[in-house]
Amino acid sequence: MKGLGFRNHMLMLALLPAILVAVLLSVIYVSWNFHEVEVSLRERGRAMAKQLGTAAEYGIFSGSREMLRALADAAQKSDPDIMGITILGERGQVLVRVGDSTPQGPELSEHETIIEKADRIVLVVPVVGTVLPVDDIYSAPAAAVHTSSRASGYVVLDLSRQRLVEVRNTQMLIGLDIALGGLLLGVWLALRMARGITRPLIHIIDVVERIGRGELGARVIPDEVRTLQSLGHNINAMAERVTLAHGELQQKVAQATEELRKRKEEAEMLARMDVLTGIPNRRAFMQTAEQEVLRAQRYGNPLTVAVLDLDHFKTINDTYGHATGDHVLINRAGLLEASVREVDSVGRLGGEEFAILMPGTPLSEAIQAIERIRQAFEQNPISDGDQLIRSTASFGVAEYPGADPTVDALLAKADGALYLAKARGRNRVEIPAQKSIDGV
Amino acid sequence: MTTFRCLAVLLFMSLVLVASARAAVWIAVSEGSADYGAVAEEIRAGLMRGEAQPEVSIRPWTEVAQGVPPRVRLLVTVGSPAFVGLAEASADGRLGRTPLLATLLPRTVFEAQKRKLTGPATAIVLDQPAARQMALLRYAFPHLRRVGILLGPESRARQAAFEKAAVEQGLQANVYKVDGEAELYSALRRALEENDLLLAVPDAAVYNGGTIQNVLLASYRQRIPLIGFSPAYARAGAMLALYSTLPQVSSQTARAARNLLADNPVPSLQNPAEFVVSANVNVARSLGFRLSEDALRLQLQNREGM
Repeated sequence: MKGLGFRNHMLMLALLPAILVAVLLSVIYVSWNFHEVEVSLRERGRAMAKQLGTAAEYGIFSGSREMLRALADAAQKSDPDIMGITILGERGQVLVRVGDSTPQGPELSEHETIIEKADRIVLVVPVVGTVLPVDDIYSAPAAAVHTSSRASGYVVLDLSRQRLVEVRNTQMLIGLDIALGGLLLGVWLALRMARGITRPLIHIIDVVERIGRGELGARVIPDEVRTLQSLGHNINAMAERVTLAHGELQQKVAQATEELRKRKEEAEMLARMDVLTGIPNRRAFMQTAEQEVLRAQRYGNPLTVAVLDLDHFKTINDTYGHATGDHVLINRAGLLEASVREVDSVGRLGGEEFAILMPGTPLSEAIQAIERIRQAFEQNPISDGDQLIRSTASFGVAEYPGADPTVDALLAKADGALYLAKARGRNRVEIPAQKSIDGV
Repeated sequence: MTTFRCLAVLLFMSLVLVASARAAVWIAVSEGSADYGAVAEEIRAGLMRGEAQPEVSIRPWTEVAQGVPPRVRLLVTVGSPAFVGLAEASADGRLGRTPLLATLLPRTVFEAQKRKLTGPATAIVLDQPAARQMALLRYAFPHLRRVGILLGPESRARQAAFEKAAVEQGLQANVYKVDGEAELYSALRRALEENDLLLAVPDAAVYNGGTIQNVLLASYRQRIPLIGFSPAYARAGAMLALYSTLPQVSSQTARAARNLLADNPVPSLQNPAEFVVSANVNVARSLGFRLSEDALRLQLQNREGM
């Protein structure tokens, strides 16, 4: 649709001057030709009247009306444009009149006169006798001869304008035909020339529109834009750069997004991790525990949780200082994490208290595992400079479900067992109330 | 100033007196045609061939008309205008009794003006004598008898001469009087209807540049041969023309001048002695005649004993 409009516009641009020129040319042609025809008619009339005058000279001289009538008749028959002829004598008396001839007044000019009328051109031509060069020295003095260049008579010729009008009409038709022909030729040429420009342009416009719509792969086909190859080439180069810039931008956005995601994860992890020991903090542990409780609830899997508290940590803190205390906490957390299974989770609940979540583990198995951890604590003192610091822990183990199937209740149960372990001499593993396993 | 002028006049008169010792001939030339000058030169050449060897001076007639010194023994006028002009000057007494020889002019002009002259005058006219013309007609057209002649006011005086010459040649001359161009066609028509031949005579009222075409045309249409009086007529369409050429007139004039200077008797009016016959063969052939210019001339010359 847009291409068609563009082509029409181009066509108008090319054709409008052509139409103007064609019309102007035909008007000039017709008026010039008409003028020429009119002039030639008048000239022909003058020539005919003069010829008739010459021929009539002797008839006028001899006063022979028969001769003059024959002359006038012959002249009128010879030319359809002659409407009528009158031959007048020296004093303007009518010698002969044939056809439709305009009567002349008695005052006749010594010069030829042309009277223009609507339907005719009237020519009045004096008949002047031919002067022969016989007035030589053999004759009498010229003074005795009166001048003979005076008119001996007149020829009045009426020429019809009818044919002139017909000729003008014909000329107008010819002029119109020429203008029309020129116009058609102009249309053809303009179409040809316009196609040479519009086709490439339409193709380029199409490609640019597609690029604008986001179809970045659209390119100008060189064969389609023969006359405008440079423009096509430049548009392709531009599209190439746009595509390239677009890709770079997308890549940068992806990088930034990834960065943001990492930062967010780090922040989240930091929020869930104990800053000192690097293991999950109480909140994170609680979340994990809640999920595991739900899972155990849903699938009926066993779930055991253990709570441990470092023995005599206050004394270590007081004896070796807070830095060493922190060192001890870090060490025990690391040991704890290293001692549990892959599926197990650990967490620092606060101070010197840690917790272990053991999904899919019944209490009896859990007790054994915890016992190994207790032993690992006992057998791995912490080296702090040149001295070894012994640090054991007390463990309370509780199995899900209990009377109250919540995390808090489970932890409270484990806490209860821990309290029992503390009470029963520390460095021990205890289960709630009834059962007890003796440590070393 | 007056003294100076008197001295100049005296000087001029003494010069004139000295010069008058030699016989002088002045040739007064008409204006209007180079032919006049050419004829004057030929006359001078002819004069120089004689024994007298006069001093010859060629001048425009207007200059001569101012006055002629006494040593001028003879005035020669070439052409009608010069003769008419000097006749007027002579009537005013400016030429004294200087003898005058007029040449290259129609007889009518000479006869009309010669009475104005105060001195003796002779002329060599252009007109061919009527007898010669009638003889030519008889030789050229042996079977035709009636000769039409249109005479205007100037030439009317020659009617008797034509009639007499015609009778001598066994012809019949019919004269038609024309007083103006208005009467020309009716006279011409009658002349052409009533005659076998038309003889043109110099008379401006009848024959001039404006009328000649129609006269020729009319005679041609009536198939009547027209006999003219100058080479131009033969060229324009007259079947025959009888005339004297300029060199012929010039040599005749020179002869007459020599005789006058030698005080030999000279006729007061001479017809042209030598002549030529000119025929328009196209016209002659069209009208069914066969004419020989030379044969006709010889016949005429024999007749005149030349």
